[in-house]
Amino acid sequence: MPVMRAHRDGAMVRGHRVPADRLRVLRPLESDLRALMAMLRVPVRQVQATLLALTLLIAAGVRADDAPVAFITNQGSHDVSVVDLRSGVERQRITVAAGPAGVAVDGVHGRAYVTSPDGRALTEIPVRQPGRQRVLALEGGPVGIALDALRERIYVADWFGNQLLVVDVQAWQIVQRIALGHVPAGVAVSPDGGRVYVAERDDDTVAVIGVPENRVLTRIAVGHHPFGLALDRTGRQLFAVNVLSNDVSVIDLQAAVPQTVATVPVGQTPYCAVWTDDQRLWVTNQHGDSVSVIDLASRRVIATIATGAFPEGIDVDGGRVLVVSWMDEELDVIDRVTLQVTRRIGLGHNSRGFGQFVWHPSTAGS
Amino acid sequence: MRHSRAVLGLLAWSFLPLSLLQPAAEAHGPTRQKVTEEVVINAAPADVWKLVGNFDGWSAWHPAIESSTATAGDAVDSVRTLKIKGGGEVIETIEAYDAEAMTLKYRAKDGGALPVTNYSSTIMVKPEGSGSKVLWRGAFYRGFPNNDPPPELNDDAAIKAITGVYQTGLAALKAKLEAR
Repeated sequence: MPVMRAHRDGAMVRGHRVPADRLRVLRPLESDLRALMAMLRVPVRQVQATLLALTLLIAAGVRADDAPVAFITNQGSHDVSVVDLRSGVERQRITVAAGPAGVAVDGVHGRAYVTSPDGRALTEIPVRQPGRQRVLALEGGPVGIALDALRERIYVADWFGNQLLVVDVQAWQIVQRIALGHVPAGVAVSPDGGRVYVAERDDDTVAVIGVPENRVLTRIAVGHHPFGLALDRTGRQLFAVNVLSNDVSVIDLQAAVPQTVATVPVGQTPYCAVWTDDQRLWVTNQHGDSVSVIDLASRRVIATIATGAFPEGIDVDGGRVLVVSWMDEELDVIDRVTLQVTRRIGLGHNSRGFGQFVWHPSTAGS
Repeated sequence: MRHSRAVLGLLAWSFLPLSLLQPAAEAHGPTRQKVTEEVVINAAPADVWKLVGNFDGWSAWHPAIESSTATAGDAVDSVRTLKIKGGGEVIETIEAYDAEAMTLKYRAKDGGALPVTNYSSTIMVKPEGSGSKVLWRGAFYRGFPNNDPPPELNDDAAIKAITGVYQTGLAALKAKLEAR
């Protein structure tokens, strides 16, 4: 008795619809498995159960290459760790230009980009074909990076050159240089791509750049030495993580003049942050060896989670927050409900993951 | 052997004239470096911690330190000024102090007798067999904050200096405790 019944545009398996394209994968697999299990004298009931589990997995759109993936820059080993976030296994390490630090993922086109301040380069890594990289020579000290997937523009902060480099992905070249304040660090792009925000670390400001005019429209005063930036999903609130004042500036972007409306104290030497849809902000504290969890309604820290030493980059994947420990060279997986580190995945030397580093299959286009 | 190492460490700590060290406050290059050193000592953890955990008493065991004064003993935010043998000083502040976990974290003020910036360090004592293990690790940027550093202020110089401080100190700590 076959588990699957054929259907014009797919199949029904005990009430679950299996799309036609998944069926093409499944069909040969089913006969192979049946043959194998018969050979191993597995009872028929168990064969059925196994096939059903497998079918449901595939029906749910889960394929081996469809797991969410993290791309973590390892500044000391000059490579990028590609971590399968479902299995928690590092799939491979990709060598890139010297000292990679910043990272941004284009979920629409399935590409990861990393900056190498020592090698002064930008490397493009296709998610499904990581070996087929492209390298673009940059200048100064490229560190912070964010992108606009729809316009296919990449924004790179030049730490030494005090400018923002605008890279056109199609042309694969720098198309504009926008002068900035001192030591530009973290970069964020509004959801509609119309604004680019850059932390000007040594000026204690965030520059607001308008697109497509590509010039600084205004500057927002924040705390002391802003490094990482984070946006909420709607682009109404921006968060600047202030390394030397040990706090986070909450910026209202809806106001006529965007401005800091609150300052939330966090742990020691905070660095980066990520926003989650339960209105929380997760902030890494480098010297605190911890993550501060801010409730954005009350604007106070509701939990502090111990992590590996010198946590830096931070990103979210569904119910998990992922934290890169530079000192311990590991990716810490935090359960968003229990607020516990549930897994520690080894990385390369001096891992940083500064930027948005998670690629999720659900964000991928055709 | 032990003696020559100590000399090397001293050299590493003080091989730079102070005039070379003028980085802007808190400025640093983009690549943080780290050094981790450890030593196993045939002494009880509590005895090791008595020396290591005494923030103001490191001149009793670290051969590179001539003298030390601290503003508030082992309290968080206590600031110690270390006079280095051969010249120069290093000013360090306690960031965290956990006597139970035998862990001390401190941060150095920029511009001292070390060719580094943004230097912070953690030293901890753990039980190891019937003795102890001391783990000492530091995070720092090189002394030169911009691209193309001169050789005496590059990443290698910074790593060499901190490695020297740790190796010299741990070797002397072991010698002192095991000689008892």
